[in-house]
Amino acid sequence: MSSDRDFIKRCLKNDKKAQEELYTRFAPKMFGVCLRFARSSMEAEDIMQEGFIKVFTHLKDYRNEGSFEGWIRRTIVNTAINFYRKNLKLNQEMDIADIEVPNSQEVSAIEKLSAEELLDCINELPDGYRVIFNLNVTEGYTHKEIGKLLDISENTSKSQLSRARQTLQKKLKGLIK
Amino acid sequence: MKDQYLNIDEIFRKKFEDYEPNPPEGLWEKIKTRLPDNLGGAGSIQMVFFSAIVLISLGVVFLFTGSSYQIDQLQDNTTQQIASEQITDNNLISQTSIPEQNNPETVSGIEENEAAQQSVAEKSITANEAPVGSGPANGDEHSNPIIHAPKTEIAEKAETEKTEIKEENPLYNERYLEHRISGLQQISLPGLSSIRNMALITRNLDTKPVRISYAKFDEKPLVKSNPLANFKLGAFLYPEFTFYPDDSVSSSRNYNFGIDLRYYKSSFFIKTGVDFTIAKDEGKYTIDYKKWEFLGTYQDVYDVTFDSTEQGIVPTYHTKTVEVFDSVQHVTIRKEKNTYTYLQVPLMVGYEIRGSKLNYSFMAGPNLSLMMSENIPEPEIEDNITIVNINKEVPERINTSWQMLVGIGISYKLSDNMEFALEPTLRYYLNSAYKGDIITTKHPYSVGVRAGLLFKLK
Repeated sequence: MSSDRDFIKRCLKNDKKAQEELYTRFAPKMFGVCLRFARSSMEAEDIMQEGFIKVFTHLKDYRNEGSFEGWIRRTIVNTAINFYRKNLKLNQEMDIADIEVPNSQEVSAIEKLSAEELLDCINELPDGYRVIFNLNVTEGYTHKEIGKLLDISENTSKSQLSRARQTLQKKLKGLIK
Repeated sequence: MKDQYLNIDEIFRKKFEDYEPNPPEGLWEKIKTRLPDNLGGAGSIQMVFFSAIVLISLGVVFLFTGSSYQIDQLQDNTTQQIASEQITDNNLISQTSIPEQNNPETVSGIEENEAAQQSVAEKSITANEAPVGSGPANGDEHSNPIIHAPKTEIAEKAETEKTEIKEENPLYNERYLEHRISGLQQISLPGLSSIRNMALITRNLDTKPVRISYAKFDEKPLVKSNPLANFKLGAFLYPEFTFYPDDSVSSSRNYNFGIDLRYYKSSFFIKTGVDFTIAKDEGKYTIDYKKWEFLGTYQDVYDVTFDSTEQGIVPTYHTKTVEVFDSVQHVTIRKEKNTYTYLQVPLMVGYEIRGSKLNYSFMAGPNLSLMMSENIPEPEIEDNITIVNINKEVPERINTSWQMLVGIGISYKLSDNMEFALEPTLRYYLNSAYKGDIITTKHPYSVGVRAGLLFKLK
């Protein structure tokens, strides 16, 4: 933690080397986050760019409480949410019981797919599905937290996640056939 | 069903856990160029001061280099300038034509022929006034090349005044009075002054003259227009609604109080002043925290004693109940109101159309907003939790921003010196009001209706 503190101090003192180091250290992981939230690698690049500018401009606000990586990750996720906020149409709800579930054979076939293949499936999801799927499944937000973050109800978040899963399932089935 | 979903979720989670693709080449270069010069926040003050000084200096230069001395201009024989102005005054002079200097034809044309007079009047003379300034009277002794009016009502009035002043104040010598009358006649030249100028002149006639020596008289202007007469001071109070083209920031309502200073030159004016603005944002915090939560109890053996009984040695276990807690991570969203106070310095150029009771105006120009203070309340946090991280969701505002203001105004004359003014104003932000967010490329705008009073300075 103390090394992070020194590192941040150097960045705030406009030490260009430290700033570049910060970017190099966290860029691969954060670009992975951006790719999951984005529709394409071009948009992921835009989110990454805006996100890191936000990270640097808000760096002085970081309180050294909690992990530095966690703080950067949250900033990148928020940037991604804002990027797509206009396109989020999250008012449809659906009956979760109507959804088909994959069988165990399909599940094991899905396990064999690469991260890039799974990423392609996520990228093709509509913005609302993709954001909620990512927030819940890969970022670990609860529906209550997603609801507060996106100003939607918990039920909307749940139903959007179900739709996202259903759509993903169809795409994955197509891939494993 | 849920379990199978959880399996799929787990697959995704695991696959992406260590997924670290290489970021695009050259991305750091792009980010680097967009980073502010000083991440620590200092340095922007210098920019604020520099901008403020430049703007205020510009305002001062515009305001004070243009102060006018119409009478001086007359004495400098600037006939072109004379011709470009107008006279509209009480019973003395309306608008007049612009005769050529010492043109006897014009004089005779006007004095001898009423029809000719009418034809001149068609061009510029109004009402039943005798035309003045059309040439010197016969036998005029003045060597001054300025066109002199014939002895009309003005001259008669001046003569009367001469007698009155002489009677009232014997300190005035004849030469001074002649000069003064001459000045009055000069002032009456065609297209010379505005209502304001005439008001000044007639006021000068009516007030008691000050004691001026003749020596000074030749060096200094006879009648100096009061520069303050070209100024108006305004006080405005107005709400303003700001709209952001990005949904991540909701529209906000600002409250403004402003003091304007306007300098008028003919129908044009320059406006500057200071406005105090209170702006509010809906602040949102995402708080990661750990809370100790009760998980259950267990029996802790803290002592064992052995008793000899008939069956042998029997151990006795002494226990106590221990409660088990563990820290569980949570995320919560808290909303707070952020309040910002701004000092605004506008510099606008406008045009005013004057009516008998109502004035209409159009104005436009830049405005500099300087943040004076900000109040960003900390979110309320429970006592028994451990904060992991607090993240502000609403981007912070920048200290300095430039906007372009466009306004239309209508003012109603309540008295000679006071007007009630309504000015709907559109403000377009030339740079975003927020720090390095994606909305930096999107410009907020706001609308407000300024309502207040304008006072003429005399």
